[in-house]
Amino acid sequence: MSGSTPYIQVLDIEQTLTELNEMVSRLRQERDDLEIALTTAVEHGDAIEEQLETANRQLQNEVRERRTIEKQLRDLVATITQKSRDLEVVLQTITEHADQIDLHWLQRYIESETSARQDPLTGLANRRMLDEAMEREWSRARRQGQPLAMLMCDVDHFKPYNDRYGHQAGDECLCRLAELFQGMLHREGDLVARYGGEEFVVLLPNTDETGALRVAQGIQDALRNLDLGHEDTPLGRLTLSIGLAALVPDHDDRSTLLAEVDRRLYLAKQQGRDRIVHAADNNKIREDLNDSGSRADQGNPTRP
Amino acid sequence: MHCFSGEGYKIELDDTSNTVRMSGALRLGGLSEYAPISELLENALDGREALIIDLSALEFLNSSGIATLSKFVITARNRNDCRLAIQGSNAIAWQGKSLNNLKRLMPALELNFD
Repeated sequence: MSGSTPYIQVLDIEQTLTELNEMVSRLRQERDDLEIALTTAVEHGDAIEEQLETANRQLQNEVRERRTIEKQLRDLVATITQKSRDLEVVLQTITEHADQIDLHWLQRYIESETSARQDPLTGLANRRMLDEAMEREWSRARRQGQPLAMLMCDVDHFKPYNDRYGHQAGDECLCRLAELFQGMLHREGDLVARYGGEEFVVLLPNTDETGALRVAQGIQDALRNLDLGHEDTPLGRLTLSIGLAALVPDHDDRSTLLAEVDRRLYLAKQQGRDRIVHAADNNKIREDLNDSGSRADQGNPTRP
Repeated sequence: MHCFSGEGYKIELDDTSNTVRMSGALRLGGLSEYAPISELLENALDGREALIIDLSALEFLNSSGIATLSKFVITARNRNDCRLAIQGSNAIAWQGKSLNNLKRLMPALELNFD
């Protein structure tokens, strides 16, 4: 280069300057770019930081809110659990209470049903229960072709008994008779009812006239052994007149049996009381308890 | 003494002995008809340290009645400002089981039977 002309040297310098200027310009541009980039990065970082800060605050608020809600929910669950437990206990209380009340009413119902079918003085069946038993046994006897027997028993001279000994003694006497009747009946289906004041009806399913007669005789024997004093009677003791009938039902009119024993009871009274009338055909007294020789041989009542 | 009665029953609040006495047979129809009794019972808790509910002469109480009594016991338990005692009778069949169940609702409830 030392051999070149000054003109050329000037040109080189100018070229160099131009290049330097370009370089400076480029560097400035790069510096400006870098400053912008740096500013952008810083501002972006700030924005991100602020955004993160906001997000963090929101998150913390959310956490707080969730914790509050969680507590509220826990309280709610506790309340609901308590209420549910209370409801379960209340339900159980009401259910058990209702059961107790049902039982209470059932007992009342049973008592009412029993008293509706029971004679309050003697505890025997009353006419209503007799009617129901009669309806049931009549149908059964008719269906099965079996005999059905009935005794109608009336205490002899009972009004004079009441007059002499008083109504309380009369009631006690009826209770003793009730026990006696019950003691004589052992078969399921046998029923004794207090039919009226001093009138008793004995219903004997699946029993013919012979069997019913044995029962009637047994009753008379037991009464004689009981020896309830009654000074206004010829024998000085309480006696019974009994109308007895047995039949195999072949029709619906079950009142015929009751009418027949009633008629025979009337005959027993007419014939002098203290006896059993059981013959439907001849109205004769078939058994006179005054003629007691044959009775003693009857022994315990047995029926087919 | 606050008192009201109906057919076959009587309820009285004796302020001197802090006792509500219920007697007879309570068979009102549904919770709405029991509302006055419920109100009397809850008002009886106000300003008292202790209250006795005497059921020893209450022969009969229907299901709505026991529900009312149960709700009252829950209210007394939640208020927790008044000791509650119930006096029952061994001679009345329903009281045994039903009153013991009330104690399950309120373990602090004092139950006495004569």
